[in-house]
Amino acid sequence: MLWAIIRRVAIAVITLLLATLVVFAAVHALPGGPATALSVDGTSPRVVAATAREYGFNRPLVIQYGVWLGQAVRGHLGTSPITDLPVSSQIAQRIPITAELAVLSLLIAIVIGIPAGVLAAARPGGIWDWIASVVALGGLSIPHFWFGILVILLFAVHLHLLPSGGFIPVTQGLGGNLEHMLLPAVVLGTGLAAVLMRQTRSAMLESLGADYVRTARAKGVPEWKVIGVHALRNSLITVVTVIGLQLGGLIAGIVTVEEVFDIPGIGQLTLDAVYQRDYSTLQGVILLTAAAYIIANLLVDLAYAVLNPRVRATEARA
Amino acid sequence: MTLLEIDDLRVRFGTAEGPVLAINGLSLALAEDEVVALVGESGCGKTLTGLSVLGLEPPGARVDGRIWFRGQDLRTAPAKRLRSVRGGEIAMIFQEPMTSLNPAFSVGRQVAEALRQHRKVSGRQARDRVMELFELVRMPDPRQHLHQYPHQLSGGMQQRVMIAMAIACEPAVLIADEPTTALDPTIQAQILDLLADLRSRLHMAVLLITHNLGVVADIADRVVVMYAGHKAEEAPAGELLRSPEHPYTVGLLNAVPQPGMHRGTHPLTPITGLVPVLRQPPEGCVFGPRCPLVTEQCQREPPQPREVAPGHLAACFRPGELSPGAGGAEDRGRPAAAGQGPA
Amino acid sequence: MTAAAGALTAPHRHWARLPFAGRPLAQAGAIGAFIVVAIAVFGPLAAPHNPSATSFSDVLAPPLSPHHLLGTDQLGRDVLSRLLYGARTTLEAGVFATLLATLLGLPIGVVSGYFRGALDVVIMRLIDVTLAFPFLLLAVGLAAISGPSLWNAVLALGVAQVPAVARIARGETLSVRELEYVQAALVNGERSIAIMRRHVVPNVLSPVIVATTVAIPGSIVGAAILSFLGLGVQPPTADWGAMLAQSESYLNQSVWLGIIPGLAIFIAALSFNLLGDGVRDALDPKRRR
Repeated sequence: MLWAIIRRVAIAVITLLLATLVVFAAVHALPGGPATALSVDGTSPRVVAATAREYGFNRPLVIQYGVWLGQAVRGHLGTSPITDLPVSSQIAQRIPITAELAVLSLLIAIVIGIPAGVLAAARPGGIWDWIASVVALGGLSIPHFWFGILVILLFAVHLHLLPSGGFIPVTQGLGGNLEHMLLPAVVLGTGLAAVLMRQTRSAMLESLGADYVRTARAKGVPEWKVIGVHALRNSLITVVTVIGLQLGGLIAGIVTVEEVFDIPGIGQLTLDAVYQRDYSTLQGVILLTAAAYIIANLLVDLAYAVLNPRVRATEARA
Repeated sequence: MTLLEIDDLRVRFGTAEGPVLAINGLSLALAEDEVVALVGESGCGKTLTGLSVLGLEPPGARVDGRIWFRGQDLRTAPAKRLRSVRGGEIAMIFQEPMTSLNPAFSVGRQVAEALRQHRKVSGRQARDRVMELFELVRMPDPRQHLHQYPHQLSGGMQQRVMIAMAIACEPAVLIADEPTTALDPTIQAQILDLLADLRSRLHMAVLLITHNLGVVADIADRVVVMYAGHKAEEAPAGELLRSPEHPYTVGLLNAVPQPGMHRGTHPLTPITGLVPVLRQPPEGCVFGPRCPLVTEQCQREPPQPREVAPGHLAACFRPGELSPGAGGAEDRGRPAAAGQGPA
Repeated sequence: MTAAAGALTAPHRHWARLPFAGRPLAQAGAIGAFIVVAIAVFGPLAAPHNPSATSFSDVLAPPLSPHHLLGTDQLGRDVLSRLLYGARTTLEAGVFATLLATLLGLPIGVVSGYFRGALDVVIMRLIDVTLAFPFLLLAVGLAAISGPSLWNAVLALGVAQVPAVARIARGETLSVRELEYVQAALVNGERSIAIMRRHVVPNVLSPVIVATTVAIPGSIVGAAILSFLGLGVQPPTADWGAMLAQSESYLNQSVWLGIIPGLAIFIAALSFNLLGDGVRDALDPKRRR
């Protein structure tokens, strides 16, 4: 178990290092080099050259990478030429907002998706299976941003029940915060819930046909426990892997939903940086996202190891 | 005294090409303390019989008939009563211990679950009892096995865990479905020995489902031979092995290697053809297409089990006309008799 | 019991001969996907107006207006015409991205699986790193380097799907490699390139094609997302995602502007999803319910 964890962490660290290398290389591949990139459009060549000296862009690439990595590790991601603010503080400001959105939507997805999948698998071909499968297909096919527009139209424009967008920090009142977070979290959670439901259903159908389920029934275990403990526990192993595969999609979803609901999170910061060609900020955000993604994947791997005794004992995962 | 009685069991599966009859009118009784072996080829419905007793038949199966247990029909018993019977009064072990144990839980927990389902015991008491059970099924290190997972145990050990789980609540009946088929031959003998020992210690009645007549000789009191969902013959174990009356039983015995048999003099004789898949109740005897003695009468009406000697039933119009070691070999090649199953 | 189970499965093989018979959802998906593709191919011919023609006297007309069946947008452009033209853009992006993923992923996976050893380890590790970059970040990076465009969106979506295709191709190659005729070709001294082209690729192709068919709806929605975020198709080109993005500011005046293009994306994605499910179920008997 311990070795499995150490191995996973080591792989995650290596992947992260490679990711930083890619980000670093990408910025240096920019037309005109990083100094041009770090300058606002239309800056005179003389100022660009000064920027290059200031940031040490005339030194060998390897040393530049080392310096840059060392600073990035300590949280120094440079200063945005557009806002003149340190990139790290801008990111720090927005992390809690995006984290809240991500956690809430993941929670909604799990609370809806897994029980719906279990319910559907309990009676395959039954009315609940049919309803859940059709709803899930819809949820899978509906693009986040359009679903977002639809719920804004319904709940904000038409019914005036909830705000159409924006954000209120928890410090200014939990009610207002949740009021603004509810629709985005539901929109983001629905697509994920659909994926989870489909995966849970198919994993449960496989588990419920397994011999050990028959054994559980043969020893008098009540049906809710057969489904909810014996079959579900084995199905969760597959479902957790699927959650890991969905993380990339979740990140894309966060950016779109933040755009639709005008939430000032990391996604909006990223898009603003693209539109304004603010490369320092972009570099920082991409690095952060890659790190978050890799760490989330690591957590999924660990959850997988906890759920699956075979991995725990032998750490043999294909 | 009869403890468990299967009365006119019929199991059907609906398919796109019409219903398939898996079991057609099977009756059998199990007395207290008795070991009855249910014998037949793969696909003859013996496993399904065991599962039907506990209401564990696969989805899509339509089961008719009665399962009398302690004065109650389990097929119509309320769900709660059925659950208390399962594992509490009638326990079952299966052919594949590897897949029959839940890979996600420790074996200790799985055995304890069987116990706690039917007895009010504390966690500590359950654990102590599980260790006791592990000792009873002769596992070498009960304390260590408690926390092991199925994949960490050998097939023989896994089957011991399954047996420990089954006897946890000292059931009156144990249904053992091919408990040794998936195991190595040396382990097979150990497990059979263990089962024989446990049943005399715990006074269990055992329904032993097997395709192996060699196993039968060792531990069964009575034998029921099944063919294509029908009962072909039923007799005390010794008598059945000595003087089988039904040509199918004779065929089965001829296919079993006997000690002292020499190559050449007594060749092993296979029964030609396959067990038929029955799409409707057959016109005549289900074994007719493979039977060396088949007559016109056999093709017209199905023979019912009749008493041919005290306690010895055979569903055949010409019982006892084929004797072991002879018969089959000469008739084997008859084209009319071979492979006419409607498969 | 086993014989009965065997008899139970037999009729399904008989079903499999007719495509999607007894699967109304898959049939609906096939029909829907066919219609969407037909619109993408022939839609522009049927468009009643020039999709870029603005008319400031006719701004934000509701659907069922005299000259505009689905109304007009904030610049007075005909929504139906833009929708018909946009089908081509949106579908093109999705299909090209999937095609790109196949063209890159197939050789990578085949080479990796064929040569195995150190090369395989390095390629697979690199693939893992690529997986660590969500497609949106890739698109963001490309847009940042060379400016947002449809082709950058296609490139990002395609590259993001390469790992999945490469993995399938590698797995299949590993097993095809062991087949006797491939071994025979090896013994005969045929060149590796020839063996891969003549023996391995044809065998690997069909599972890869199934995987990519299933991935098409994801690409379509992905392309729409990128256009919506301004990282894909640039105005004034008609595209379903871009149409939605432009509608956002006018939702109070014209609800339809926000509903119609989204419905189009939804229907296209749903059809391809249903079709994909059907294809997968038909080819994988284990997934039959």
